[in-house]
Amino acid sequence: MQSVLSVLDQEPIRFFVSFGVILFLVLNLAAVLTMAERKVAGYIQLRYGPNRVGPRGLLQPLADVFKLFTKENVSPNRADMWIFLAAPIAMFIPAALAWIIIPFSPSAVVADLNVGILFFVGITSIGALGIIMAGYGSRSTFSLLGALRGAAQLISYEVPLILSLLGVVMLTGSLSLVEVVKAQGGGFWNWYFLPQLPMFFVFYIAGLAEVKRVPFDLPEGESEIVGGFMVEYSGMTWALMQAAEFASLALISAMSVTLFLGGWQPPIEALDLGNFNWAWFGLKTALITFTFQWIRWSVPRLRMDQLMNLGWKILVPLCLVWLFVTAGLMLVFPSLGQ
Amino acid sequence: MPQVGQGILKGMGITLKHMFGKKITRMYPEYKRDLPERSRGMLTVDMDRCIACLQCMRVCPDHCISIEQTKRDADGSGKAKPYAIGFVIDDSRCMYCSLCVEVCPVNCIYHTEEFEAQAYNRLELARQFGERPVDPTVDPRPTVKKKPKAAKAAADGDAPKKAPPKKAPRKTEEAAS
Repeated sequence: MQSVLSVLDQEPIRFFVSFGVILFLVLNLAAVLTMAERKVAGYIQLRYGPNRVGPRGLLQPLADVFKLFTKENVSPNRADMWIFLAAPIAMFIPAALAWIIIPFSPSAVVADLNVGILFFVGITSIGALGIIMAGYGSRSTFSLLGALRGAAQLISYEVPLILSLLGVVMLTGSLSLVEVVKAQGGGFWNWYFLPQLPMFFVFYIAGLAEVKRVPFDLPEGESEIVGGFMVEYSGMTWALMQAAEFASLALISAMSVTLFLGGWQPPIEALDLGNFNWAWFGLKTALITFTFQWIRWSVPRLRMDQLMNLGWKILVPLCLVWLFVTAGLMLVFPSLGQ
Repeated sequence: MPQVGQGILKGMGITLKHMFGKKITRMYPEYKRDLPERSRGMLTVDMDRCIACLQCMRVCPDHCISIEQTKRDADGSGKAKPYAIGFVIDDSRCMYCSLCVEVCPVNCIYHTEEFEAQAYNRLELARQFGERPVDPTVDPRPTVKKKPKAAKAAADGDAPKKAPPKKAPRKTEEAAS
């Protein structure tokens, strides 16, 4: 048994195994999250949500996937076909790729990069490119408007998102996510969300905007620009875009858990599960994802100027101030940073 | 400043409360609620009471009732009376206006509580009640009684004109495509 596992850990096989695992994880996350989204929506609105396919409607994602696979892929006549078809891929690949640096448990991480946080920031920025490609390639007014809005929003909120990571980096002294989680060991009072509460707040809101969730879902709007950048997509290309959105939703949840809520660390030492500590990671990620969905069905959306004001006038200054506070505290109490 | 975010928190509290609250969904095919009084379901005919007066057929705005009439001594009185040997109600055309129910002199046509009219073929919705099936696709043109000549001449002025069937070009479809 041990030898089989060590063979699986050798380089070429390890690559294929982790590739399969990540792909399986991301695609299934997308399917499960669509289901969860509809169930949460239903329960919040005093309904049951989908409950016909399978027991309690649990096979609904399967039915959705079958339906989307069999649908025709319609495109506008004048669309720039290469860009039009490449856009969903350009959105999905970064959302899936960033999962390789997420540490599920001390040993279960595909690539423990020593620049993990930088990699995360860089890879997720490519998602904005996919949106611009989708809007430009469709050659449709609504698409272009949605893409421009999406580009403005994503680029604006990348600034507070990156700044809010810096406090954690300063405290840990490392860009590796495994190191970040290891530094948060020993009970929930050591997790970074307590000393970095404003940063956690900013990361949460900026992450909400990065995945285009409801208070910040300006790139798509039923009443003004219909489907936004994905108005011309149908069938599997549309499904790929949705999968990318749900994968990045889960990714942001996983990142906020890793950075601020102690990753795989149990809340108190007594609850340490040893090799099964990934359950803590999964539990926390699911909770954060639920809060995203909860917010989606409770909060009305912002106007474009309110969105920009919130990003540039509140979140960025808050980040900068707390960066200085963190630096000052570390200067006064050198024991804070290891 | 102290009020910032309070509205959001309050709203989210309400949604969370609703999430664990009792659901108001009724599982329709398994659970059917009682219909209100006087609700108009699909029509049905009590053929024993029908006197084949054809008033329902005449009054129906959608021409969905077709009756085949014959003379028969059905009640044993020794006199041949009008008898509906064929009676069809085409539910694919019925609009539940209830005019036939109002006009029936013997209250033999009435609404049931059945409202789930679905079929794979429109003709399956035509329900036969008589001994002999009637073709529901044939328009039951009500027999118009010939008026006396004098009355007809008087009525000619304000009689509704019969518009010739115009074949207007279908502009809407062309515009849509």
